[in-house]
Amino acid sequence: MTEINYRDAQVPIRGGFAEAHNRYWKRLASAGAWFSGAERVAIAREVRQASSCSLCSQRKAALSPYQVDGSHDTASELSDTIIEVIHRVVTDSARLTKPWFDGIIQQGLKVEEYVEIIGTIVNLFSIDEFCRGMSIPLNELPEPVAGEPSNYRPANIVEDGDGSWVPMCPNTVDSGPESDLWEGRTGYVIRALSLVPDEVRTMLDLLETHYINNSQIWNVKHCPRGTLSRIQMEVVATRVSSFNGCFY
Amino acid sequence: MLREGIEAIGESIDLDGLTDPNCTKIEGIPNSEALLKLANAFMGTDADALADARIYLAKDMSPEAMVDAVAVASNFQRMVRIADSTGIPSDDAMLVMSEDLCETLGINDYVSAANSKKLSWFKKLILKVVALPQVKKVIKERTAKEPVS
Repeated sequence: MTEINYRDAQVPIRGGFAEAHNRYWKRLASAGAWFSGAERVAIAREVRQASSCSLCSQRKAALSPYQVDGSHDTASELSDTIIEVIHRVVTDSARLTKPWFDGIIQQGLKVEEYVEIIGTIVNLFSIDEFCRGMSIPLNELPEPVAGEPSNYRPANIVEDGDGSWVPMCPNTVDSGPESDLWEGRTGYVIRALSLVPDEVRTMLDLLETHYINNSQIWNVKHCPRGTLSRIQMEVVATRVSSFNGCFY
Repeated sequence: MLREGIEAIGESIDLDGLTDPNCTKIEGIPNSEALLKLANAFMGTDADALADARIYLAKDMSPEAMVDAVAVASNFQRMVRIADSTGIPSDDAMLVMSEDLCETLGINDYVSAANSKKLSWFKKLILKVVALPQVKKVIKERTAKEPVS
């Protein structure tokens, strides 16, 4: 597998980024809980395709994305349902609705598959966005590794998601295979992908590299690298989130 | 979290402009001009503006701080998509804690606000009396030993 490194960047990029991104690349290439490595890499390829999809551009410009019909410009052999999920989440996530989600599930996508797709989208997208933000070429996607999905579903799941669209682990997980995910209670955004626990593990790994360790979320003076204070981090986070219309 | 951070260092800072892309500086937050310039450019489509913003921030703070600011921005491109695509509500205590700020900054008008049900006055009261002090206690405890940076 091609190893990610940022040695050619115009400014020094601490090694932690390449290490974390390589860890994800390895996971991306391998079978997950519900998709093979080849399917996961195809999802990644489709994530990159979404930003140049003309249907997505038209929908983004429309008053409502549901007014515009058509076919997505695709880069994979994935099903239309999966492609719709990927393109909408990448290009127009702020206008996703519960009826849209219900429609996706009614088309036959398992909610476990949906969660793994979301995990794959967002983890890849954050790495790609880092590269775009630094004007570094996107990392070449990994070659898929053979293997079968595990079909692992945690036993301890809140099926109604405590008011979310997707089932998830309870906010406290003190024992069992998911007890490593977080300590004590945690918020919805960390629990959201826990129907596929490895997506949370990757999310937390990248969270620590790009932002802060999840265990330090409530430590509002935490300054992990001495470059930006927590307040300065939150200024960037809040402005970016406001562009995205993020209520959360 | 930003407001809690500001309270933790004993400051009072007006955050009204934070969600206004035309607001270029938050008085009282060091380097906020360079940080907001970077965030705005990161969310735009002008590659030259992004390059300029990176240079500006690297000079204003350091190249390492600039890289970390890009990392934070890219992280929050992810978190919003997790929230939006899973329809998670806001945690009740956070909802109460940020109620006035959300109103002031217009955050309640965002589409994703619909995923968080409006709390009854009774639940709000309970949260304010019971849950909020607990959250603030956790923040105080976890923050207590950290030096101000």
